[in-house]
Amino acid sequence: MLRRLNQWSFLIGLLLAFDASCADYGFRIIRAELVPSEANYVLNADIDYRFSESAIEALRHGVPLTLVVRLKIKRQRSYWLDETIWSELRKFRILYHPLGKSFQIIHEGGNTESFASLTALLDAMGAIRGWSALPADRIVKDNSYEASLLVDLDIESLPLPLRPIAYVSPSWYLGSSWYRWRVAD
Amino acid sequence: MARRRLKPPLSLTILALFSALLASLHLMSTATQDASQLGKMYSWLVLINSLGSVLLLGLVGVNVYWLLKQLKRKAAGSNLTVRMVFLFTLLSLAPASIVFYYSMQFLQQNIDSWFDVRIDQAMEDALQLGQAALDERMRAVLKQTEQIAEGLEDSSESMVPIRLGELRDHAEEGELTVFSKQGRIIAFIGSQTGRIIPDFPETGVLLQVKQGKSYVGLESDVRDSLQIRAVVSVAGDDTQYLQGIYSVPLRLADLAKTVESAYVHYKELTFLRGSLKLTFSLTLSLVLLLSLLAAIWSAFLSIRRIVAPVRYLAQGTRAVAEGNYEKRLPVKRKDELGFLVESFNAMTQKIAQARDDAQHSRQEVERQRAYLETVLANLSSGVLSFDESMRLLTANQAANAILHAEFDKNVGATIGELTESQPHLADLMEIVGNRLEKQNGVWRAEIPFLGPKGRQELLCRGTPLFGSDGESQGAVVVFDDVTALIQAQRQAAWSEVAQRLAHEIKNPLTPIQLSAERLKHKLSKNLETAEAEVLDRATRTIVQQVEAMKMMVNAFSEYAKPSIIQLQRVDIDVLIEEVVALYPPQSGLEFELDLEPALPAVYADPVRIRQVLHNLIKNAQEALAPGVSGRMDIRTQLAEENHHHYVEIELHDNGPGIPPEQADRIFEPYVTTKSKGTGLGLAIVKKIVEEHGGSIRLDSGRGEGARFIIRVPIANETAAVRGLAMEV
Repeated sequence: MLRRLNQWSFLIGLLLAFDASCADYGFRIIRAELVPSEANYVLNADIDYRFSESAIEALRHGVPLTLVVRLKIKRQRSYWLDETIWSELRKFRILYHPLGKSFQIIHEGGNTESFASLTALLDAMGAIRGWSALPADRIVKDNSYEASLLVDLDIESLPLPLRPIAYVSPSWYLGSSWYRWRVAD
Repeated sequence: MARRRLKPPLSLTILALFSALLASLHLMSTATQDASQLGKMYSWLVLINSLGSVLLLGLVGVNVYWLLKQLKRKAAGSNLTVRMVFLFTLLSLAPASIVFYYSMQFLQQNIDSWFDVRIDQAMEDALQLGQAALDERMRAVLKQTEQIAEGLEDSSESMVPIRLGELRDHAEEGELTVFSKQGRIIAFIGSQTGRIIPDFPETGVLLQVKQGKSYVGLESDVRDSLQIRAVVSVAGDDTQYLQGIYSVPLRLADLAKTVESAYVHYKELTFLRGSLKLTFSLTLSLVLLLSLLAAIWSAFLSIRRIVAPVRYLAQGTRAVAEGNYEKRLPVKRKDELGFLVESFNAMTQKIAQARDDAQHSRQEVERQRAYLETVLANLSSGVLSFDESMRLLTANQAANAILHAEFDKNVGATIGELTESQPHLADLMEIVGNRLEKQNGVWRAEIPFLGPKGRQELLCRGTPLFGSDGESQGAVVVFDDVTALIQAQRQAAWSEVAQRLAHEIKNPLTPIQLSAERLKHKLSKNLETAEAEVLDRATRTIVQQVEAMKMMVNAFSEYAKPSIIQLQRVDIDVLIEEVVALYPPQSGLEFELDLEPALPAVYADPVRIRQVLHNLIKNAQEALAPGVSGRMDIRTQLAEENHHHYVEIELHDNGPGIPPEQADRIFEPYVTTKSKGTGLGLAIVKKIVEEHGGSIRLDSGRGEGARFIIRVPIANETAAVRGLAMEV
């Protein structure tokens, strides 16, 4: 009986710890893969964006937020440091339109996407599909490659008055940790 | 020197640092004010300025620490530095704080004044107005799309494009798309925008439509204008959907966008109000902090520079107080403080020179004194000097030797104390003390002195000393041991007397003897037997006495006449043994010899030395009381005095000895303790010994009997004496 109680309390403790560390806010990469498609390798990834209260408040008050996705692919070498063969950075801004009460993603090229709700936007943004990454011939057989992906909120792109606060406030540090995986040939 | 030249001057470094900080401050403040290119550098600028502040804070901290350490050590000038730094800081802090306070106040109020409740409301209203206008348009669009959807009712899939074309001709221009549930396009009519592929709605919209609710929404289009999207399901057949995209009229779109952007900007500003205040305050605080810290640091630097000469001066004064006059302070300035330091240097230089001069003259005095002391030490006369209270000041070696005293240990002692520590000086010191006290002038006196080695005749001269102002400064007493001189004088006098006597007495003796014999010869025949017997007895007495007188006179002349000695190498031990052999046990004397076996030879006349020994042995024999068996110890040894080597012969008998009152004159003629003899024996002994360059003295100090000590120089030392003796 006592033992079962112990097991329960352990489980609850574990859940609480998990909750406290991840559930509040912060970005998390759930899954990422590089798959060959015609001439290129393309990136598919699922990202869980959870903005903090302060970030959402700022967004709703018209402050555009800039997100940065970094992709790095390294060729692993046993005799020397790994060689970075691909390093890519993509930025996109999200903002709120009070007129249509819609949310918008503005991609680097100027493409926009509108969403009726923030959830819809986050869902769309969280599913990266078919991002063409590197030419297929860069991946050579018999070598091993490691890809890493990171998503972060760009504090430097925030309006100037907000930056000092953002730099010192944890609720503005939303970036995920590096997600690493091996690239299959 | 080269290193110094390579190093940029401190002031230049400070200037450069301040300029850099000022520039970064200026950039930061510009960045805060407008969102230009500098906006991107803002964080860096904040970081640089913060680091600058930290650096300055560190510098100030180091300086404060240094100052506290100085203060704790009570270093020169630290109190002054503290006071000046405090004043400086206060002077810079007070106005800066006032300016800072009012600037902050102004900033807060100014930023708050940008925002007004009325403007707030107006912005909200404007947005709502725009929304209302667009809502109407959206409703119209939805209605139109729904009508087209109704029109498409019951059309087969192949008929839908044709039907759609017909319906569109009646309706407003827009992009119409009919698609299936699976997303397959059934019909598409593009608009003038020239899009070939329809723009599908997002998943959320589709979901909504699939639930039977129509969707209408406002979006930005590719040209950054506004468009309205409406999605409805085609009635009767829920597997098909119609989407219509209509652009908002340009004028309306522009107006709506202007309102929206103004609203967003205003909202953003309102939202950022707190942050903005914070940012401005941060900038202002950084400016204040930087300038304050810079001011304090430069205060430290400049005060240290100002106080440096004072510190040097204090150190220099301390060094001078400790006697270090060589210290020279660095003169780095041309102002009053520099002049002060220069004057200090000149002063110490002069002091050092004066000290050197004084030292030099002291050394000269010391040298003179040492010279005088050397002269005094090498004088054969004894010198004693006394101060005005009759305390012994100096005494030379000769004084010690003549008086057999140790004056060196008694410097500073009064005459009474001298007598106490050295009792044998008592009589002499009493006389000398009396003379010094009573006589104001120079005095001379012959004073007999009874020392441990017998009676000495001292010739003393006392001279009172006076200072330049006529004040008494003590006295100096010079004395010579004239014992030997007086004895020599006596001896010379005796020689003269003896010669005269010999001459004067010897001459009438022969006629007396002859006359007496003639009387006897002429008268004895004519006289009666009894009378003739009287005559005979009388003349015999005369002749005998004259004979005795002749002998005496001969002895006199013997003593008086200059002797001729024949020097040769003599082994004293052998000579003694030969002489002793002549005295058999029947002679009434027993000898005990203790002769040093390896005694060096002496240059002497053996005949004369034998005479010396005979005389002394005879003396001992004659001094013996009748019936007492005499004994004589004869000892020889090598002696050394004042680097001269002597053979010492010691003769010690067991007789009655010499009475002390005669002891010092025993070697003079006619001084004798015996009833018989000429009284010349010891005088002759002394004469012979002295002719050999030796000495004889009576050691009456220890034990019974007489103890004579003869010293004869050893052979190689006699060489000089020999020449002397030859002349004699």
